[in-house]
Amino acid sequence: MPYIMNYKETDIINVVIAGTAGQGVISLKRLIEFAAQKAGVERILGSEPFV
Amino acid sequence: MHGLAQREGAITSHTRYQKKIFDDPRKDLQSSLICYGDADLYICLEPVESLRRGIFASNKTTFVLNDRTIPGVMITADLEKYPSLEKIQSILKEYSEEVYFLNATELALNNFNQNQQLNIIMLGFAVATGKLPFIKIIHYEEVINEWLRDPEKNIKALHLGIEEGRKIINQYTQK
Repeated sequence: MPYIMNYKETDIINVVIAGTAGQGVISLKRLIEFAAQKAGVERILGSEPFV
Repeated sequence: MHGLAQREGAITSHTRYQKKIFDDPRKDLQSSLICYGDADLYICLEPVESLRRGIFASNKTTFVLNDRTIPGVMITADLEKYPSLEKIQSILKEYSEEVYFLNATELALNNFNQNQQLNIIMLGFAVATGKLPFIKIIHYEEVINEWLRDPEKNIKALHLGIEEGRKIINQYTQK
C-alpha cells in the first residue's frame, strides 16, 4: 500500500526535482514556487544547484 | 561560459514550502536545502538522475519518473553501463513502495509534436500523487497563463499529466 500522509498546514513539504540539462528542471521548480505563492503559502525556499 | 548546464549534465533542484508558519520561528522552514532522507516527492525527468540524488529519499518519499533515458557522457563513451529501468525501480523500491513511471516524453511527442511539454506533463503526474498539498490546479494554471509561452498548450499538458498520472496511481493502488 502507498504511504498515505495527511499534511498539516505547518508541515514542511520537500520536493527534489532531478533531470538533465535542457529538460526544464529549473522552470518546473519556479513554476511550483510561483503556484505556491498564488496559493497563499507563507514560506517557500528552494535551491538551484548545477552539479 | 562553459560547463554548467552542458548537454547531459545532471541538474538537481530542491523546493520546500510551508503553508503556515509557527509562532515559534525555530520550528519554521529556514533552509533552502532538504535534509538527507527528508524528501516527500521526487520528480525525475530522467530515470537515472533519481539514483544520483537518492540520499534525500526515505520510506515517506514518492518517486515520479519519466521513463525516457538520456545516457550520460560516460555511457556514450562506453565507460559505464546504463542500468535497466527494472534495476532502477528495484533500487528505488528499497526506499519506498511508491515508485511510478510515466512515458512523459512519448506523451509530449505524440500530443504536441515536441518534447518541450515534458516537464509540465511530469508536474501533472506529480500533482496526481497528492504530494504537493495546498496548491490547487488553478494556481498552476494562473502561473502558466502569466509566465509561459503557449499557455493553452501547457495547460493541456498539465491536465494530460494529471489524467495519465491518476490512471497509473489507481492501477497501483488496486493491486
